[in-house]
Amino acid sequence: MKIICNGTEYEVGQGTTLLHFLAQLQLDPDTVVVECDTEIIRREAYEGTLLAPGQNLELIRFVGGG
Amino acid sequence: MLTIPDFQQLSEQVSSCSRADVHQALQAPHPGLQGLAALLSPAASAMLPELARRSAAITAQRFGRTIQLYAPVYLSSFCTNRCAYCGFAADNTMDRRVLTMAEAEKEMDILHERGFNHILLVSGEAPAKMGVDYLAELARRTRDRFASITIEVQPLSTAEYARLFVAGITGVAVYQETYDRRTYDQVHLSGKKCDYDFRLASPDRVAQAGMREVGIGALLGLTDWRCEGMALGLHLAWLRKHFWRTALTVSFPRLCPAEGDFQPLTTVTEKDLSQLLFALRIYDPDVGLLLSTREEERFRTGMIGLGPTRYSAGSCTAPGGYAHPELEGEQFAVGDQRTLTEVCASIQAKGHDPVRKDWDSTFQKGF
Amino acid sequence: MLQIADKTFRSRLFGGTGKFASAQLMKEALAASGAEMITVALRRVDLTNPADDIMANLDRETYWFLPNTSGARNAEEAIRLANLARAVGNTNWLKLEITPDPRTLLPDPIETLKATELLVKDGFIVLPYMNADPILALRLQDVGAAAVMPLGSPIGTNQGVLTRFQVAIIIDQARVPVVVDAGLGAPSHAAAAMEMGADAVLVNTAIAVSGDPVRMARAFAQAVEAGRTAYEAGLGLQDNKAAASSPEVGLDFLR
Repeated sequence: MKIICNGTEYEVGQGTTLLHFLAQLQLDPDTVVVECDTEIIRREAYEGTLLAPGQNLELIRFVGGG
Repeated sequence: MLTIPDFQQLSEQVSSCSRADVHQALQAPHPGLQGLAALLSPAASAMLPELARRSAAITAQRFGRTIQLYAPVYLSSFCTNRCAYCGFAADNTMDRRVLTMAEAEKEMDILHERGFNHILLVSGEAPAKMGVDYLAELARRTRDRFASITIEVQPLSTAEYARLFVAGITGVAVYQETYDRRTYDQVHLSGKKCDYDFRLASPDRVAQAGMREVGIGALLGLTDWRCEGMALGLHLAWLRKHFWRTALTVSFPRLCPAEGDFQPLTTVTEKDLSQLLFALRIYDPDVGLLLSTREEERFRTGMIGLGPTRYSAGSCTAPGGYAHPELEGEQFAVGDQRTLTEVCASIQAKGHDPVRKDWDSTFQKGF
Repeated sequence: MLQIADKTFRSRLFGGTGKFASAQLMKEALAASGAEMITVALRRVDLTNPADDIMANLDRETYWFLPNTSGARNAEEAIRLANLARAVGNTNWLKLEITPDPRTLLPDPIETLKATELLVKDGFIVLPYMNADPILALRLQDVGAAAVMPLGSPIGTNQGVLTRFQVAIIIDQARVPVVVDAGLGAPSHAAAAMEMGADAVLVNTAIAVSGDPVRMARAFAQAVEAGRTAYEAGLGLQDNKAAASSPEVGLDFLR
């Protein structure tokens, strides 16, 4: 199935959890926040959240700034 | 909640200041509390001309060469408090009066005809005789004739102040009398006024209610005036920090013989009073400083331009006294008996403009 | 010690983390600055470079993170960023920046006041970036801002405290800490702000783009400390002409 993540299309397998997806992207789940269709997902829920076709994910983290 | 340090501590802070500290306070753009201590110190007493010069320069810069004029209207001499220093004290035998609405309006009409635009309504503290309903009604009846109507009555609740604001009252004066708790307890023998903290928090409630102006003050002659000056400075700073929309004034009632024959507990001379006034002006350039007819003509004329911004004139301190000058029962003896015209003339002679109007309460809306 | 909300800071220099040539340089410069509070921004993860993570480079025990809402053009966008920042950083602290004009990046006072009020109600510790408008500072304080951050001059201009007159009024009136932010281009600018009585300053560009960010960070730290000490010591008056030109006043009337 296809999802959108940070504006790019990704092909993921059925039954992929959010935690699993972050691991595939080599991201430390403690340093990013995930917005799924503009709703913030709580970090504790990453493991139990199954990705669904057509979802729009935004992965956000701190960067340098003044 | 504002807390005033112990007077012993304030006294030490003030008396430890040197001439050099005074010089520094005179030059600092913001002298702060430490600067105020220096300006109130015995060391500064010897430098009064320097204080006067600085105070005069700041006053001219902030207020221009103007003096605002007001007159008090005494509404009632009933009082439920026993304050050792006051002619209206409950245990003082005298003929008590509360003006009817018509009489009060008549007093205000007389002052309006004499040219006053700023009125201070004064009464003893007896809510049953003179309450919020009365004041609201009087304000509604007279607001269109006056630029401002302020009150000096018993402390009220925030809701009551808000109601009076909507009715047309523009400002409230609540003097702490003394900021020294021990002295406060000594001179307030009975009545609601015995509650130091309720009184101290009154200006907060006035400001919270949206009043344009709140006046504070200490009765001079009860305890160390230098410490009262520090406390006034602390109170001003507190109000400025928490209620920045509210204009602030300070009054300097100096005890003089009243019915009941209370003798001042300490002597505060004209030099002391002028030092206190100069110090507060230098400490807070924006504060309105009031000099009432308690003081004599010579002193009041001499002080024009040096710091005060507001003078009362032609005052009578007995209820009904404007319509009936023969009436007795005044709260205190007036030191300057001149009429408004005479006071205006002396202000003009000193190169200042006597201002009778700078706001219209008709612009005032509740919120 | 500087206190903001319920937290105290020894250092009165806040560091920005943007515009450094490398993460390593940023880390060293921040260490040299002695800053405890540092600002960070929020962006989409660069999925082509997933290891590029500022949080991996900076110890949360050493640095207090102050996420900003840079990029927000109105209250709504700022609030969205604030919620993301809270979720990423497990912090309710926020430097609120709302800059609708991409040319000057000057803060929008109306949106900033609106957002501050809403965010404070939602439990955020809000430090709004603002133009040096004394009444706005009081209004922000009244709706619960934990500190105010007036600009010295427009961000990135390195012009110093051009808003000196208004900043002085803000410092005089505010009951919350005043942090001068933006436009401080040289250590002397930071010292000047501190001498005026600012509680802290925030510096980013001037350190990050200097010839040697680590040494410049140290210079800023020294300047902030010098300025603060001078303020506490009490500066002498630089101009006493006002007193000298006033005529003598007669006090002969006093008895």
